[in-house]
Amino acid sequence: MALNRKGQASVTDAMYFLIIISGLATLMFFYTANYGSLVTTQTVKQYNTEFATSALKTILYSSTARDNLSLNESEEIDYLLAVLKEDYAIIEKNGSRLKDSTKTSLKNNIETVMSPFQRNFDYLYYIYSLKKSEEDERLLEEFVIIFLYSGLSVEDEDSPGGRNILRIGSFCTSNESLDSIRVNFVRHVGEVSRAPELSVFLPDYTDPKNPRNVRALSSLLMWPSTDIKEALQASNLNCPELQNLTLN
Amino acid sequence: MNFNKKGFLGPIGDDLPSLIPLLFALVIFFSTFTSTFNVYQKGAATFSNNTDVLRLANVLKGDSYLRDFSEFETACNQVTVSGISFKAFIIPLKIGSQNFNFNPKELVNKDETQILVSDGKTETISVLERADSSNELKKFKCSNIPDEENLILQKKDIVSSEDSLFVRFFPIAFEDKLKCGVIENPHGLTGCTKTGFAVRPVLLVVVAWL
Repeated sequence: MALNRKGQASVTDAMYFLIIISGLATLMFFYTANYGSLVTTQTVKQYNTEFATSALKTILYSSTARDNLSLNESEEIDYLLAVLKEDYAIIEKNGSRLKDSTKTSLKNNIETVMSPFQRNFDYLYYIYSLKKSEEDERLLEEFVIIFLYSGLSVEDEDSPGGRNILRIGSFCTSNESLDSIRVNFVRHVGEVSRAPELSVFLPDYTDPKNPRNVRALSSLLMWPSTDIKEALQASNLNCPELQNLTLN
Repeated sequence: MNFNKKGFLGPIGDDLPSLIPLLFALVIFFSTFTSTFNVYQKGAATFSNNTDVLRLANVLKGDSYLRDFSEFETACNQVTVSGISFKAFIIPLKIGSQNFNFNPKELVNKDETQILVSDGKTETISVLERADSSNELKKFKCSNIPDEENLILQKKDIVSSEDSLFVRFFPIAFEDKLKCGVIENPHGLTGCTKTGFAVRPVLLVVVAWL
């Protein structure tokens, strides 16, 4: 009797083998499908990070004209960072740290450097000071500058679906900490490529008897273009020019 | 005659039906394995080529601050990549320009191309050209292609094989020596209006193909 069942047992074994192989083949298929996209994602991320790092250094190294002329015409050329440091040293009468002319130079410079990516990517540039209190060494962290190039979805009859994303560059303010921006803002904009933070030392002459250097961090974040509304709300970033887009 | 072995056809004959799913499984396994291996090889090659392009761009851009042509030339001579043909060049970036739309492949075969600026207008951009230490005008371009003839031969490949073409941009700060404009002052003496340099953003474009 046992001999008669020998053939059936080997067919069952072969069927089990086929099931196992089918499972393995399915696993390999999914691995193959994911591997391609993984490699592409990793490659793009690596390139974007390299680009952001180069862009950040270029922004920090660039020159600007002190007399508001072009670099070719100007008689007084200095590093943009030097002008920015000079502005930071003394608080203006209106309470602002940076002059409007410095902001315009910085905006032009950032937009020029980012122009190869500006069609498809949004970005955020910031300088964040890590000032310490004189009395108790407490950290008085604050954003010296935040420049955001992004867009909001607005009604547009000419666009398909009746909506369009308008994108502009805008200076923003925030009372939140850098960590809060990192978490709450980044979470809402998707895959972010970020340049490593560079240290910048800003002279602070608000107390003329006690001038000092304040350590600040500067970085650049970039991500594929998206509607920034949720990220602005979540991070409490105040960008008047950008937010006015929806009102106009 | 042994009647207990009624259906027995011999060791192979008895297992013949089980060989069908067995062989089928082996065919599935090896075809999936080969396909996975090929995809992996292709992915690894793409990743490796991308890394090579980034590495050569890193050598060319250095610390993202370029002082003069000799520094660029030195960096160009240090580039060592195998299996990839490349041409890298530096083009100026216009301050205040927001749109930047051009075809880098055009710059591979000639030193200028049309760039689409705002409102559909086009401007011509050329590869950056500056005087070197011997006051000779030099173009900021670097390539591992031996001569122009070779480039023409490979031109066909550049255009046809989009999959194996890599185009990468990197902004660089360029220390541009200011030209000394001669002026005549009221005392009849001549002098320079400017000295020194201005650091301008420029763009390193790397076009590489297999």
